[in-house]
Amino acid sequence: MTGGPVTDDPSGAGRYRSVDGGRPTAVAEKLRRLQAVTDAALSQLGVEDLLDELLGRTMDLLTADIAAILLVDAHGQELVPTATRGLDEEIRLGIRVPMGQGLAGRVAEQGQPLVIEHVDAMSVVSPVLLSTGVRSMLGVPMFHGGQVIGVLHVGTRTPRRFTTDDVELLQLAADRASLATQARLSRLDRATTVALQRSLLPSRLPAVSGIEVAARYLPGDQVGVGGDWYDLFPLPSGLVGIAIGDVAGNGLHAAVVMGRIRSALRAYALEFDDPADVLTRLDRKVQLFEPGAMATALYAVLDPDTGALTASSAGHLPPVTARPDEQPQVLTVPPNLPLGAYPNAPRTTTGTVLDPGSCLFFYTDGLIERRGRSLTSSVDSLIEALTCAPPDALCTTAMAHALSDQPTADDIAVLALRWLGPPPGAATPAAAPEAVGASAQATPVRPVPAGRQGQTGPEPTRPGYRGTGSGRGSDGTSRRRASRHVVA
Amino acid sequence: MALSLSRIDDGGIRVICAVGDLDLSTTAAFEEEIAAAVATDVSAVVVDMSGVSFLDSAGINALLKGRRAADENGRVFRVEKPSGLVREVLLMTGVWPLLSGTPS
Repeated sequence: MTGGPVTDDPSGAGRYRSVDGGRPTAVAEKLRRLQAVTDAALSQLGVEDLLDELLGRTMDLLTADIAAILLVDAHGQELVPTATRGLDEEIRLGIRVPMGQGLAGRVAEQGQPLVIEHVDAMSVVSPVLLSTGVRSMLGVPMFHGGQVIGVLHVGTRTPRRFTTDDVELLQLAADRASLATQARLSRLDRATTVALQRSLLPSRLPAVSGIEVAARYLPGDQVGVGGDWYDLFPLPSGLVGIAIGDVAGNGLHAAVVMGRIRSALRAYALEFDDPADVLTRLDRKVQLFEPGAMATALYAVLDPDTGALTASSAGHLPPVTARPDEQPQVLTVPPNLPLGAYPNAPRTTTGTVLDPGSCLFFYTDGLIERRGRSLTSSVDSLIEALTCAPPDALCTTAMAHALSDQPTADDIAVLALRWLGPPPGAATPAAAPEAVGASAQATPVRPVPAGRQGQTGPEPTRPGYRGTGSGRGSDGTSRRRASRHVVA
Repeated sequence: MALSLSRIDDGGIRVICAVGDLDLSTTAAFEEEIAAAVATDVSAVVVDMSGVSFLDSAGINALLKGRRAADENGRVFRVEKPSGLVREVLLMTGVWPLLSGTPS
């Protein structure tokens, strides 16, 4: 600090008051200095260091002995000490100040500066604060978007009457702290969300014999990471579960709910083979444990031995299917209510049988939904752009198609797979269409061609196929049926 | 585009006319309007969607919350006259039978 009457007083007591009104240039100098310090620090320091530096400078300028920044917790119930000078125990001991109580609690509740000239046990909450022998305190609110997000307060060990200049200076420091804190919070939020999304949406899906698969996730331009997810997993029965879904909303909360839904779906998939059964249980779980949340989801179960596919939709867009060298088409899976929509929603399973080499393509609404364009025409346009291709290429084509149009506001998840055909030596069971009737409400999607029933025998060439896997015996079909009967 | 809401009370039925976009940015006001409606002594709450040009998943969720709130208060809840894209979205997400009051 430079010299001059303002900073010469070694005791510090009352020195700032001495300039109040009498030395406006000194005040302006202090404000300018504070601003300069924080501005420079913003670009060079991490947020923690910045807050610490800010507290140090504020203490210096106000000749205070302690200073602290307390932030309102996620539930808006308590203030949590986040950066302190002269009060390190507050953080270490995990002190919490309830809203409305003590100096900080009252500043936060009222959203206004508050002065305590004579501190006692009644006026502060933190025992650490009392133990420092603090006599006078000044606290100001930290705002973001009209909401109080925290409190910055300073204290002195000698009695002190804070001036309006002191309040203004502290408020300026609080505004700086708010900006930095908010930047940190949203950065943390974003980083956490992205990390969560990444951990839940592996770019490489597990290898499953008889199936090629690829998936992509793209955050939205406007919403960033959202609640879209995809999943594919082999089941002990030899069947393969395929899921895609979209939790309404975005940001960290949607991603967290998505993680729980995805995980619960896997758990129910272990217990039940019928997709409608899985989604019924999942829906019940969402209703109870995620009140107010809503998600669309499509869950399908594929038998890699036979190509039999069953699917149930909780308000999700229908997948696209394509036989080799044929124009893709929508696989009609009648949508039941989204997850979390309404108690005891009836759910149905729909079935079909894929031809060897057929592709399936699942997606979320971010891929096709554009303001002012009908969904039907968007789906039609997608179908025209797609061909049955290796899944990786299919995903790329679909993404390119969506993004060539206009940048997408919403996030996008896509999953493509190709069923290579029955394993060598495995007879295609004539009863494959029985899977279609697995659910009482089942509606055949695509009538199984009469000739198909006699179509047995392995595909002649299946380079990607590595024999039976996933702990499945050669007679995966009968084991699957056994488990279905167990749950029925 | 924002959402504007107006209400008409007619013979014990509260009709809420929504005009604009029912999406993440406007659902809070919409949910408040519905909550206020189901708390009155009307027998039914009808949402006239003819003026709604965009509906996203947050908007659908708001409509479903309205239906559940109406149930809790013993009120009938019905969504009417969605057009174009909004109608498609309601159909493709499987919520239309529940919200229109027509059994699926």
